[in-house]
Amino acid sequence: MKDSEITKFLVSFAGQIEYVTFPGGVFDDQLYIQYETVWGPDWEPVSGLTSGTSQMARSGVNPERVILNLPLELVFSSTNVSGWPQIIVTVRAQNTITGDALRGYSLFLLPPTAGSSLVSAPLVRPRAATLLGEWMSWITGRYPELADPKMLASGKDNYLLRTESYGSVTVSLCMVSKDLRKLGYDNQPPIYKVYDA
Amino acid sequence: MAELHILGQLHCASNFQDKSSLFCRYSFQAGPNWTVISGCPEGQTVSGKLDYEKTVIWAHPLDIHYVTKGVQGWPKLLVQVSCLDSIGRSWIVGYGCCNLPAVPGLHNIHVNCWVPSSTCITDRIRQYFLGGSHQLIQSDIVNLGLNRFKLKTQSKGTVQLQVNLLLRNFSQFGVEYK
Repeated sequence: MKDSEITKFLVSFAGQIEYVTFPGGVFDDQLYIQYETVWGPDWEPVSGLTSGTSQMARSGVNPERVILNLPLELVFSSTNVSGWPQIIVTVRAQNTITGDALRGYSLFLLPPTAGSSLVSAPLVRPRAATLLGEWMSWITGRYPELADPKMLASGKDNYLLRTESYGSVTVSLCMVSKDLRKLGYDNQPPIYKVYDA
Repeated sequence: MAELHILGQLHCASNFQDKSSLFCRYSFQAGPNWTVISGCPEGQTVSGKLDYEKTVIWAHPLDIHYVTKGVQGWPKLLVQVSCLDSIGRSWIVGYGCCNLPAVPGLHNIHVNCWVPSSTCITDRIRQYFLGGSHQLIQSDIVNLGLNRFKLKTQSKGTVQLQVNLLLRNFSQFGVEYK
């Protein structure tokens, strides 16, 4: 194919959702995550699972960290960089007393630069709107949830949602692109910046 | 025409001395040569509560696509941090402005904020007990360096953002950026 005929580029992300960290320790019996991917109108998934659920996991020697090691392999094609795919990770816990409860949502932008990266994102969860609701969530250990967590990836219409944050999720990903540079895009940092980092 | 993509997150605010939850209104301002093709160049984050490290996490996604005819007026980010207290009042606790680098790749940008300070002792006492702050009527003073001489300000915390910049076709027009 001639260079002038290229209109699409392909990006591939491979890696894993490594672990969830709670700096105060994990007191739940089991933790599990669900991930969803959100992308813009010009994008389409080519291969890989765009959503999934992990195993039920428990912390080990380090009481603050729950290792999940959930593999991710996604390939997307697009004509336009705008609407770059994002991953929303929902962390939930199962407990004998409180049952199934939300621990938080975290939002990742899949890395737009080629190469491997280890990123962590904080977990955010919505707060109850009223004082009574706050007491109820304190007593029952169950927090308000979002009907559609994908709204976090749009950044619009949050109507001043009140949130709090605790813990983080860490993901390691390797990004490889095809024809991105042939289409005139430049996503590579200059050499001096790579050395700084 | 050359294109610029801004992808990333408005990540968090730290070292603001306020106890109540904080939210941020932001807007990207670019010169007359620049047009927004897609994405929202201005918006408002969720209102986050302080965590144990005294930071507020927003993790607000950014995805903006600009098309430009020249490099004059390279986009700037203006932030306006406000607090929302437990009975629903809100007031401004910080203004800040930063230039986006003209360098592709990931950038961790810290925007240092300031707020107009209370000028007399009664205002200071009222703000200490009841909350509230002074705010700018003309907010263009934030991104312009003009007429700042008579303004008395107080230092506030830092807003952090992580942005990935993708440039397209700049080198085709002879623009040298790295």
